[in-house]
Amino acid sequence: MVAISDPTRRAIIGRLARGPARISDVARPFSMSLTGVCKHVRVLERAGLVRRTRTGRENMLELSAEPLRDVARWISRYERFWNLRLDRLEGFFAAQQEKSK
Amino acid sequence: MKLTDITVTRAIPAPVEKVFDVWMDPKSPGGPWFGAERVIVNPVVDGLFYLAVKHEGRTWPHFGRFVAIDRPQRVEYTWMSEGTQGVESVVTVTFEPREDQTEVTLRHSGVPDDETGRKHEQGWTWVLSMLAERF
Repeated sequence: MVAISDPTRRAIIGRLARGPARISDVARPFSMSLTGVCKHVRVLERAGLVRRTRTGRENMLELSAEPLRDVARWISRYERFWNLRLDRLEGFFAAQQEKSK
Repeated sequence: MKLTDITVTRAIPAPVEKVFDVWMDPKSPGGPWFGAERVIVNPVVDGLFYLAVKHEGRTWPHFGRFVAIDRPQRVEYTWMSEGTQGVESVVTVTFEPREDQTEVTLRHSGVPDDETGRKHEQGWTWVLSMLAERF
């Protein structure tokens, strides 16, 4: 119960239900440090809900339990719709920031 | 009809004014209207919009009316589509400064709680019961 009782951890699962993601991307929406988010990720890992794989220097996270991947299907149509638009908005400004550097 | 609310939030790496303006401009890449099959937007209070989105091989039309526009903090518009089963739902987007970023919170309220919504609830119940077994 511990793993899922926390809203941040539920949000992490919600994000991963949309597909595997880098740990830094998972952490970005939260107003807490990367270390803080990593602690939550470790709780989810210990519970066997989240799996971490390393590709080069990147830590990728994905939902590990097969039935948990079905969470993606439970996320309502509009939640996906708006998240896709926020992904695009974020990507747009991230690209602008890169350009101005 | 049972209705539900959806809230999504995201930190955007730009100042609030810029993020707000992109959100309201149908011609701006990165905005929520951009890339749709057909977009007609009159972004003033009581202005109307039509948004035709292509998804899963067909067109989904959306209609709405701007209820409040408070640049750069908040915008609110009604939202009707097949997905809302003709119910006038409300989309409220708030833009809050967070250091050099903007926290965008989108609340879509009054959406019919259809089968997808119920499955969502079942899903979380299942997750909780599975965890209860593990611990």
